[in-house]
Amino acid sequence: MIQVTNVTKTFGDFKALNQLTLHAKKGSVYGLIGPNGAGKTTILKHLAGIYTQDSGDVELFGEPVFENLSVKKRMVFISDDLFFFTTYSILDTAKYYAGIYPGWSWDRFNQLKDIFKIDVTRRVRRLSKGMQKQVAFWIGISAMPEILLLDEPVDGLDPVMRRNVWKLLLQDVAERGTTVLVSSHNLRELEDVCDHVGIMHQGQVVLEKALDDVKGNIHKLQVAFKDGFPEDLTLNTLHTEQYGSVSILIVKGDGDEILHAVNRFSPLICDILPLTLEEVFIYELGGLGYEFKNIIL
Amino acid sequence: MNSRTSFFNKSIIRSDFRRFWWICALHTLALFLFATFIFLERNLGQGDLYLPDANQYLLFERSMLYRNSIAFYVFALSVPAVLATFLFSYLHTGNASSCLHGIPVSRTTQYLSHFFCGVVMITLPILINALVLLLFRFDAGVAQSFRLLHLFQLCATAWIDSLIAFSLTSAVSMLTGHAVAGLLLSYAIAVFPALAEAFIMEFLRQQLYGFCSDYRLAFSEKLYLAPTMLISVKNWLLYLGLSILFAVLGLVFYRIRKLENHSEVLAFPKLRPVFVYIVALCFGCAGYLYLSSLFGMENILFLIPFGLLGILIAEMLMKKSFRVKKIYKPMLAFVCACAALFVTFGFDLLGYERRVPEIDKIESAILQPLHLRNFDHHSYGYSLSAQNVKFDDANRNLTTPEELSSLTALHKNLTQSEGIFVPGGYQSQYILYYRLKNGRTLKREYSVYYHQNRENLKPLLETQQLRKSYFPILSPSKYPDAEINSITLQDRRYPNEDFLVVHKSNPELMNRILDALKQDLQTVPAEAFLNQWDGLTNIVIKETIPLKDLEETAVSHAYPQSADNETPTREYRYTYVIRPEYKNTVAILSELGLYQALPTASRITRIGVEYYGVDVPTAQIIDTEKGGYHFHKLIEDPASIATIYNALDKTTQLLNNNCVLYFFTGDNTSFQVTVNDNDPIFQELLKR
Repeated sequence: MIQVTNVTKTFGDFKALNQLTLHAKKGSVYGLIGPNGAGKTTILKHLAGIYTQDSGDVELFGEPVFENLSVKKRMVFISDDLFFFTTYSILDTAKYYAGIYPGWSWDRFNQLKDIFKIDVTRRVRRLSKGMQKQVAFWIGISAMPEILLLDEPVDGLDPVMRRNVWKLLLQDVAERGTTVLVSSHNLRELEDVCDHVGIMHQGQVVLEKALDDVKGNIHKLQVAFKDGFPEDLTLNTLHTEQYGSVSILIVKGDGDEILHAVNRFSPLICDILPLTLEEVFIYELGGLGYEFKNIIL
Repeated sequence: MNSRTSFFNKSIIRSDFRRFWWICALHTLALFLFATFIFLERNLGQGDLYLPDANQYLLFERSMLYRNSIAFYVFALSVPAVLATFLFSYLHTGNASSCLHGIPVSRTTQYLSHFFCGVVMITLPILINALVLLLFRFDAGVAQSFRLLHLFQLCATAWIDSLIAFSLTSAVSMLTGHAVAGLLLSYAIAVFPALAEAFIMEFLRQQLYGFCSDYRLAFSEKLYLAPTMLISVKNWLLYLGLSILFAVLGLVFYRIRKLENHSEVLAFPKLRPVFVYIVALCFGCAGYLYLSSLFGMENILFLIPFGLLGILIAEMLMKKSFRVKKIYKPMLAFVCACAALFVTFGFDLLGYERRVPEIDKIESAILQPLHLRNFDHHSYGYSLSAQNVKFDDANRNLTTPEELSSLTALHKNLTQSEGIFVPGGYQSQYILYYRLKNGRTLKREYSVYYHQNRENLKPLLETQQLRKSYFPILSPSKYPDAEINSITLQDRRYPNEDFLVVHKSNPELMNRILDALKQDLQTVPAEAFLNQWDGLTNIVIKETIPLKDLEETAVSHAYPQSADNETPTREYRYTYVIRPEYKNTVAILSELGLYQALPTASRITRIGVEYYGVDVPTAQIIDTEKGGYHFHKLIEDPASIATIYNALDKTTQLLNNNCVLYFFTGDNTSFQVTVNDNDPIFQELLKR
């Protein structure tokens, strides 16, 4: 459904995307996560047909996106930095997009009035940032797209509205098979909605897997040894913390193999603890040099 | 939804009208207030003064909307440019650009939709105002003052000017990433040809000895169709073609533009070096002019300081930072280019200044004086300039080997005397114009100092060709329906100058005077041309030519005929100074009593003397403030006044004039004459 292959994009001397490859299947909710400046917004804009890549392919529905109206009609991009016409109300904006998107549904638009509860005659520019986000979402969904590209969609929304938005999204995915590609820093929420994730760093997707597989590949290990940590124990360790004789390790690899390797040294304690997506993100990128340092000022 | 052809999108068009209707409304109102209303206010009830066939340009003179008025530049040109900037301003901000290009509308459709909306919005104000004028035309008085055709032509001219301004700005908006930069760049591009041509002409005039500059921007006149107020069908179509070209260029730029370059001065990185060098050149040229006037000398190296500053500023604009690096390369390139120019012009590497064609390669030539001071005072009519010098009248061409030999000898002498400045020397500007046998032409202009070129000039000044080239009356008019309406005999010594006006209703006397003048002009010795004398007596010949016969550029100031003459014409005046050598003319003037009727010296109450360019010690400057003048000397003694006044007709003509005498009469009139204070005829009364 969404296929990005070896895309490179340079802005002046800065390489924003470096041979980036990404794939999202139909009907999936793909979470694109990465530190600031990783290139998330850039790749989203490529997928929306706003930017053109220097090299590589950007395809939706198996076709190139740029200036391809048949593709763009079936896709909506909701940016983090929104734009509305100065004098337009919500209704005016809806009419504007209704004239552009052939799949526009006024029924849907009217249905969503009950959820978003904003007077449609109000000028969008005069609304708060959070309300503008809601309007963007409202209109985006009303266009009945097959692909939704969302850049920080819930940023600025209150918790209730966040939940409503995610519910709507998932409902669309379930009912209409909408494919969603969402970038966000709120990994706790993404964990609840995404079934696939891609972790970006310095213009590349360094990890792309089903969410379960991602978690399945990194483990938090709590171990303790009678005579201290054995030097012969070699693991693909991303992070180590020491609490007395107890070591907390973040280790990459197959869970069974890791346990087998540790148990050879007869540990006093050996437990595998659950990892959150946030921890996966932190430690995965820590391995790439983007790590949080304990700084005391 | 899109139209069937998908070139336009209704949502976008509707959106543009909705957001920018106010510009259209303001434009309509402004046009009404500053053009339509003024026109109606001036013309209502005035129908009997203007004829149905009155010159169409009268329509413009009574309307602010003609091409040489401020209203034209503000409304016809600025509003469309501002509108284009607004319509495409979404390209210049990141969020707007992203939002409006993420939608399923192609760039072509976006561009054409916005463009279409803009064209409608520049058309509506003109149409509405035309409708108002049309409605008022039902009034019989107003109906007299312009025809429907005139109204149509007025609208067509205003519209095409607006369209080209809109198209140009639209295209330029695609090149920049910043709205203000786009607008400024549009104006800069619009005026660049004229400024460039003006600078180049001035630069070459200063740097190339002999360069012929007629001070008219011939290329720019063609490009801007100026000062024509009413564009012909052919030029209208030309402008339409140009508008379409700009529109197409705009579309091409839009399609290839990278949207991430919003807020940059230039949206196309490859254009940046071009921009830097053009800015450097513009700054350099401005600096050259400034430093040349400051130091009183023209040195090509004056291009460098401001040119380097221009590079620095351009790079700062590109990088949007005051700190720029690696600009020494473009600076070095600029300095090298200036140095190359300096060497090329300084050492005349192209051989321009030294070139004198060989006689056997010349087919014909013209020697055209631009100013024969003290021979006439061409005013308000045909003015001589290098542009007017043409080979269209065979009678003016020098063709014999002797004539060409004299001319080339003069030319060689002039090339060899480059830079030799003779202070106070009597000189005139001459155009030397050759048509060569290989079909090419060569034109040069020189200040000819008479005392340096006397012997070369004399044989040429004897030729009828030269006299015909300078005195239009010696050649038949090229306009078949030209007519001399009157001859005025003037003398500055008279109150109001005019002594006698001879109308065409007295053809016998008129023809006698004209024939005498012609004969004198043909036979006056060459020496007369070389002597300086500020004559007091003039003959002014007023000739009218039907406007229909004139070129468009000549009719920018039309004068309506009186009510009993339906033919609109333009009037030309030729003023001929009557010199003592004009025996025949002087005889007729005496016969008519002009000299006998001259006022006597007793009419003069005081004479103010002003010396040319001389630093007179302060103590000798008398600040009299007579009639608002300051003089170096004031003469109030009646006897002295009489001596000077009576000597005016007899001053020695070989000396260069070096002071101005202001004669004030008891009835509060005055006239002035230039003389030489060393002429013994003034009995040292004028000595400083």
